[in-house]
Amino acid sequence: MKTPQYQQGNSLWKDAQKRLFRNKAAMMALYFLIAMFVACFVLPLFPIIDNPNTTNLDNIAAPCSMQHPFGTDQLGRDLLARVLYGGRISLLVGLVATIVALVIGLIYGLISGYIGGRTDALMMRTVDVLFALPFIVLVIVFSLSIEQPSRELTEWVISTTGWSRESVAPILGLVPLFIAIGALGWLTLARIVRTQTQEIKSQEYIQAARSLGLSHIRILFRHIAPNLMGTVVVYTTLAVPGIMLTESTLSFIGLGVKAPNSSWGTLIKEGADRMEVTPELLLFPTLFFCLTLLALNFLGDGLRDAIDPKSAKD
Amino acid sequence: MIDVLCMIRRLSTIMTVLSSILLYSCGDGETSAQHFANKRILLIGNNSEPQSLDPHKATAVADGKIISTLLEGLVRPHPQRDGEILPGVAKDWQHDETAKEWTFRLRKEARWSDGRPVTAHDFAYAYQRLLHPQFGGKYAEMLYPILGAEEYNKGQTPWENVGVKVINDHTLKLTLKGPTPHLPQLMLHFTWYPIPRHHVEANGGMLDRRSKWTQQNNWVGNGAYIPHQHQFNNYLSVIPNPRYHRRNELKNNGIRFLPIVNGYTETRMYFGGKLHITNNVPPEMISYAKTRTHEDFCRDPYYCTIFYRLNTTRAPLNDARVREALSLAIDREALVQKVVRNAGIPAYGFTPPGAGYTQAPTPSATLNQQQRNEKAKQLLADAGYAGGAGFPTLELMTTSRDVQRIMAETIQAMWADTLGIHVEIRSCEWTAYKAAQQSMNYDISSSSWSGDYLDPATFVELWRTGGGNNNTGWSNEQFDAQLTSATATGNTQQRLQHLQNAEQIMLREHPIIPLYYSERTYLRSSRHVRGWQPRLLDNFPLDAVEIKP
Repeated sequence: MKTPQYQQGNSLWKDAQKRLFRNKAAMMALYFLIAMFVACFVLPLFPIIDNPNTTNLDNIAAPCSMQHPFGTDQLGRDLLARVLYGGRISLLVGLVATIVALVIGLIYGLISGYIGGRTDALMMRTVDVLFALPFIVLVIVFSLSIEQPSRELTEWVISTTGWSRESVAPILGLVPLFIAIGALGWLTLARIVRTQTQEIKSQEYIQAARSLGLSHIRILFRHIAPNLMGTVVVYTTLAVPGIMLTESTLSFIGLGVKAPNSSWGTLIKEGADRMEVTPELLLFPTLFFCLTLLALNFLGDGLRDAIDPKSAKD
Repeated sequence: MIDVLCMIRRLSTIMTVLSSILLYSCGDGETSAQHFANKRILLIGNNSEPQSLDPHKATAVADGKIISTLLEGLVRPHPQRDGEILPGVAKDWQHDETAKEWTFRLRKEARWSDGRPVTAHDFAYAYQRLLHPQFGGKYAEMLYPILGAEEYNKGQTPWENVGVKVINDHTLKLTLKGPTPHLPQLMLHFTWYPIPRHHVEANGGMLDRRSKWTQQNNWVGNGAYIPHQHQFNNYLSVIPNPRYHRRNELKNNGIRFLPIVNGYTETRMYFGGKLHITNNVPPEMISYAKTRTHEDFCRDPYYCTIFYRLNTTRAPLNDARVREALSLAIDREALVQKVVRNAGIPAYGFTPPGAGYTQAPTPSATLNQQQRNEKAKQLLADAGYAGGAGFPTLELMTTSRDVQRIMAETIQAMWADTLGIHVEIRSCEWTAYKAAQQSMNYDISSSSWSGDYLDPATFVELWRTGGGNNNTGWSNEQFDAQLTSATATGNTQQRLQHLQNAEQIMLREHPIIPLYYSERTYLRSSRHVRGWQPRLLDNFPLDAVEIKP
């Protein structure tokens, strides 16, 4: 018996994937980002990279060499190692804070858009009020106020897991930053999600789902949320650079990572101070930071074009 | 799209900032150094935003520099010869043969900027205010040489028993605790300046710590200048006081103090033509600054020590062994050579050499670093933290100044290597740093102390029990007793001996970690500035700075 040949239908996601793969700039950006992640998170696991916090006062501000490809900084620490470890922190903040913002913004926007009416008005006016407040100032106040609990968290983790302080402290010390940036960075996303939800809510298939007697939760997360994903993914890729910038701003004014650990923001600040004397200290971290931001922007643009082809024309 | 809007908004912000920088630097092709030189106004870098212009509330060097232009004491420093004294509000003075009784005769033409005469009452009022037990003046011990001043400050005796007597409007008599031939030297400091009694009384009275008498439009002073404009974190400008008795002798038309904490920024601003004199060139910029302008770079000896305060009220720093271990484990030679780039001398004691005083060698000064490290490890083990095990994470507080931060990172690494302990660095903005230090809300505080007068007492007296700038919680009766004997004796040699003994007692218990004796490195425009002289106390009278266009 012969099985009938079916033409495999193309899903929306398949189409998007195809379009993305055809976008050369976006794909290069994607490969670059993967390489950057590998460099920052995997490479330092091997002993070829020095400890970024080992000072060597006999080898201060050394120029590039085989042993120190990027040279050393003002305390004789290997700059390559510092840039890579700094990248860990900057990328991590970018990712984690974005995820925090994503979760809050998505749920808030979904609820607001789905319920509508007075609740919607109230929720959106709250967002308006929060929008009116200066973001950086709020982040500073917020991160200062949760500094103490996060320090206790660090101590607790060290005492229960027995991990060394050196490996735990740099990451856990950033928790206030994650929470502060994430908790205040969801506003734009909430608005976008709400508008989209309102639009989808009036579609026939939602009415069908409702008349079948599905619960609100099921409708929200099974039928509405998946259809928002395109917009959300695009927005997220474009939001990461902004959040990384906020982190570097905070580190620049001394509120981000604690010395001797570094992020790209602190490295750039240290380099900027000494740019007449040792320009390498400014050059390398800036190069890494700028290229990563550029790549994220390219990828975000590519994703937007792929998922929503209409928007590319405006 | 919202993203596009965000982008545009961000770009426009960047453009505004960039264009304002460009506009500012290109205006008419004339630098602000040139512009203000033509107006004969001095632009001087002044480290930090002043905490207060009230001489009884200020403690920072930056505040003192401004106050010295706004108020005038009984005496003033000689503009050419360091250490020499000229009459200020006092026209002359005499003392008895023991140098305990001093009589100052005030000049009758001295006026406050509101036209009222400066009288001996204003001085007595100022001294009473600073010493008042309820006022809480941090610098009260500067007046302790006066008989009964310490007791009054501690609330043990009424004001009548303090050796400050107003004979008449223009005669002030001071009775001192012990023979003090160097009294006029002490009086150069702003804590000995008068304040306008009538004006302070009209603004909340003597004990009102939030009095508004020092506010810009409400200011009354007797100094060479009066405040003109104050833009927070931008500048504070002063203009000549028309009622100042030496008005015709002022060499310039005003001063702008620019609070620039970051030495890199300051140095860059200097080369960008925005300053005539800077406060500080960071060590890493020294060779660069020298190659750019050899004649403008200054490197002066300075009566100043860089050290760490330890909060002796907190465990484990309440254990002297821990404190000594921390001190021994710092390789000061490497620190001074590599981080400070030789703009200083490694310090094992607190008081810098000079003014006839030499330090008795401390035991640790004779060891080499290897031996010190061994001893440090041993001490830490004795205290129960062998190899750093169980040692809590201490916080090392620094100001946001870059030199202090690099130093902190270096020492953090040294402690981790040698003792196996971890400290966390907290970098604070200046006012927050000051507040935390004064409320002893710190573990280790990166500090510096520059002499208020040319005498070792300005350093040793700091650690007196309950002293307003002690801030370590350390106290020792023997130490206080040595200080009392030093004040009581009339013999210079004996006095120095007592001070030396006191310092030895303090150094044995390590409430502080001395790091190095600092030098002053700064830039001064050789083209615009005339008449500038290096000062051990960095107290050159700014009214004697001549500005050439």
